[in-house]
Amino acid sequence: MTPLRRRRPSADDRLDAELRDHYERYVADLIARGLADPEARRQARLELGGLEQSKEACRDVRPLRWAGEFARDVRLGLRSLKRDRLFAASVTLILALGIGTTVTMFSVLNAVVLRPLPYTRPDELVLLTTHLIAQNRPDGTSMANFLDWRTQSRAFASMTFYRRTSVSVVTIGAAHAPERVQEGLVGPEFFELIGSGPIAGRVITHDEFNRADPVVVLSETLWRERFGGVTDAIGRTLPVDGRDHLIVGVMPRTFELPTRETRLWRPLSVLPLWPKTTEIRNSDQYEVLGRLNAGVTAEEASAEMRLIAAGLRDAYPAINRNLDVRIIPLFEHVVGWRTGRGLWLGFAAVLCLLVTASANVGGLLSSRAARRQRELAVRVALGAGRGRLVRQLLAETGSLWLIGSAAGLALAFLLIRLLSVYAPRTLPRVEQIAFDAPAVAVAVLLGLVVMLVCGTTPALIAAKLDVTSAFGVRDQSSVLRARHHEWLVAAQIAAALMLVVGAVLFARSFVRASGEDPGYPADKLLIVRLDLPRAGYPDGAAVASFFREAHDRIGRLPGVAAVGAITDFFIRRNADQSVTVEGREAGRQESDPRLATEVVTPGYFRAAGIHLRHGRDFEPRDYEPGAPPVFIVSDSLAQRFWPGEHALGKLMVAGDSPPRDGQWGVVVGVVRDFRRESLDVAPILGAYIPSFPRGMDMTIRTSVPAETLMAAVRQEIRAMDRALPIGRIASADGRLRQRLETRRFESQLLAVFSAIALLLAAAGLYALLAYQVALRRRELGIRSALGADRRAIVRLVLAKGLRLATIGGSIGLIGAVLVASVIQSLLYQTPSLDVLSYGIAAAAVLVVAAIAAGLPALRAARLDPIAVLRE
Amino acid sequence: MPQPKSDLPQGTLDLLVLKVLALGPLHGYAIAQRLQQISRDVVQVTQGTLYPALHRLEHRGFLTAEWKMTDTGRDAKFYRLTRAGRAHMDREQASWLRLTNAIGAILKSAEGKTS
Repeated sequence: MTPLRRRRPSADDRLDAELRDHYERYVADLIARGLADPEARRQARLELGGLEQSKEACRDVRPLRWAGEFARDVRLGLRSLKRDRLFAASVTLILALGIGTTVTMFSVLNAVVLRPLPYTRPDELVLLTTHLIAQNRPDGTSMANFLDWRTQSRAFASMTFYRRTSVSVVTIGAAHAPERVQEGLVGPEFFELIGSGPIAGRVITHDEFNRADPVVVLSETLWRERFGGVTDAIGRTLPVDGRDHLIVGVMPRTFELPTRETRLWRPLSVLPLWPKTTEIRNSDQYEVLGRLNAGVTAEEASAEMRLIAAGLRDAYPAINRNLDVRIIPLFEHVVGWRTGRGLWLGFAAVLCLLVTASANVGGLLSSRAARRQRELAVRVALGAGRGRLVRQLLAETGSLWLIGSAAGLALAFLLIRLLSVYAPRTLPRVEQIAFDAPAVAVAVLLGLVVMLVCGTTPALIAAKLDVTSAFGVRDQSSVLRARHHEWLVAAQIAAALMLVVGAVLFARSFVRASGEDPGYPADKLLIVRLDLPRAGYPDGAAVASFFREAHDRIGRLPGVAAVGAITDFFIRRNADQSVTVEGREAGRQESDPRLATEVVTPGYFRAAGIHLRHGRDFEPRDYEPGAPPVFIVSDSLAQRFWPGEHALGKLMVAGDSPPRDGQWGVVVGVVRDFRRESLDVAPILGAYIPSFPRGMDMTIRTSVPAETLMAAVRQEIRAMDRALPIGRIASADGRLRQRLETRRFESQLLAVFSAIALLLAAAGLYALLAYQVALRRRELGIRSALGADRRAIVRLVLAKGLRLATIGGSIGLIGAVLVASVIQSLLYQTPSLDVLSYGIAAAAVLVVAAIAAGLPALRAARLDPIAVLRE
Repeated sequence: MPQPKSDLPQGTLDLLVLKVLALGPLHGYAIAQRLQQISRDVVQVTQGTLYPALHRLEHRGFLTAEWKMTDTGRDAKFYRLTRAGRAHMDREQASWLRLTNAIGAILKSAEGKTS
């Protein structure tokens, strides 16, 4: 009768039945020959050889054996992991941390630095800029020079020009508040040169450019915000600067030229002054983009363009004598060296973390394998082949790797979502950071590397396993493994220390930058951007009367202490202008520091809180038409141009040449220097002129927190002109903080990475020592039974831990010193070999190591010798 | 007491197994018994060599197997020679005979020279 079976007998069941049948028959024969039952069984077993070995030999001849076996190994591995939940959970967690963070950083690096720009053959795209030889800085290009460049050069397939303006105004319906957006005024070949198609409609045609048709191409962002992303927006009109423009197309979000903030494009010819521009050589408003011919390098093009520039210097010495040309690959322009370097550094840091995590997992795996020596020995004794055992251990590690990688991917997914909120907006292409195929590929690859590096240890142990000794004294063969394990721990400490050094350096750099005095009290200062359109404010008088009224009305608001305005409260990085000082060679000299000339309203310095050192502030009479020109200069400017003299009463003028009418401006005041760009950029020379220009940053000193006044200020401006778009409105300290976003991000990232690495290294050290104490229980028990001092035992374990920490730490310090020069350029006022930072980092690592070593040391000291010896 | 066992030359066990099965289906134990009987205890195979050989021949299609009730009332796995197995056996036997004849001839001629 066949017994009821729940499943079909497997190949193994059948094999077992067959061999057992053989055995039973043999026993029966032996009994028939007269042997007693137990003796017959004993002899049968002896003569037939090991049952398990026979089975193995039979399995070996099965076709595709390994596939079935692999599945079985994985099942077995999972089962044995289930028994050891804590171990499995720790390995999974650590792998997930290592892989998850690495994948996240890789996604950032990939999106921002590695991925090519989303244009046709992006490597061929370069920017051409005019370069001022004396000032050694870039400048805009005149249309006449551009045309000469284009006709004379052979290196370029095509060349186009554009202009960025930030004063364009879009007013949409009555429901929407007017808004200021950035626009690109572009030449006819602009879109076709870049080679990116619109996602709806079409781009501007040559005919439209030549006829100066009022047409506009929208960015996807503007299209979605204003038109809800519907295609019938094409063909509608959009008022730009008070004039209706026909919407002809929409460019995708990934199209970021001239800048990421560009929201619309119009043909440059819509500007009233366009027709005359082509003949003007003495203007510097245009930016030039070129596409290199296939096979031409940027260097070759640069050599050719410099020759052309030299020719133009000879042909037009009066205007061009100071002009050269520079070629910058578009990619470099978009991404920038600092971003690239910062992100590579972040990636290197996360690789350090991954090394720590891998070494940690390696340590866990090898100590587990050591604990399982007996189990493995039993299996070898029962007939498991070594190869089989090694394969099985690899399968177990493989299962761990699968789980760990999956968890790592999940973590990366979360972190990338988090990053899209948390990463600084200043990071180029930040919105393209995504959890995508390359990220997954990297995760799988990293997991594989980690598994190969740290997963083979247990298998090697199995391969070298000495069965007899494994059954014998427990700890004799563990010396070699321990050495291996100790190196893994030292590696973790080394990698962690490098990260901690980096974190401390960046933290100090960030603290130093954010602790700089901007030169004015930045709290309780509100800045509002206003640009008056020509449509409502045709002349200077209208502009002046608007701003005067704005000063009065806002100044009367409760909570407002003073009001002023300046052309740009924060200037663009690299901004540089020239002044001419009487008695000095005209224009800017090569050795001169950077200088910015700004226009300010009466009361600006008082509102901003910039201390007046000498002389007087601007007064209302300085703003009257026909008033004699006056200047207020910064301390640094006064010292530069009139060292050791009194600056008051000196004569100067803005620009590169002395005044044609002989009307010099008089310096009437000297103010304290203040930081114009960001806290991490030293103040530059400043010259201030009294006037009311069209575009100003209103500067409002408040007696209450600045943010609370935003709504009231907005309301006052609305009350004066409903159609006037209000630009950015923010507190000064908020904007200062924002300008340090990248530094903050870098330093927080490193802090998190180094904290995780330090924790992992500490856990690794703790696990190693705890394991060794467990192995040496007997020895330690005997020692204390023989009267060893508890303190001596504590010292023994602690010394071991600190020795490892010192070895790992020294390697880490050497590594940190070696890479220090790479990060120097990313630090603010902090030497990359700053001894204090290294000391702090080393101390932190030693303290953590001492704690990690102290716990097992105390446990060793508390061992009860009697209990241990009885075991 | 069994006589000292001789090691079988590589590959000959397959031939012997096929030959024994040419007379009719048998189970593994019976095959071992038969080999031992016919060879007068010279050929003794252990489980560890017999069953891998049987399974290999089965996988290669030279044998088929089925579980059948035996006279003792226990299920046993009976192996039967297939047509391909018979052809294989004939080929192997011919080549074995050729080889042993050749070896025999060499041994004989060498004996002639030395004597």
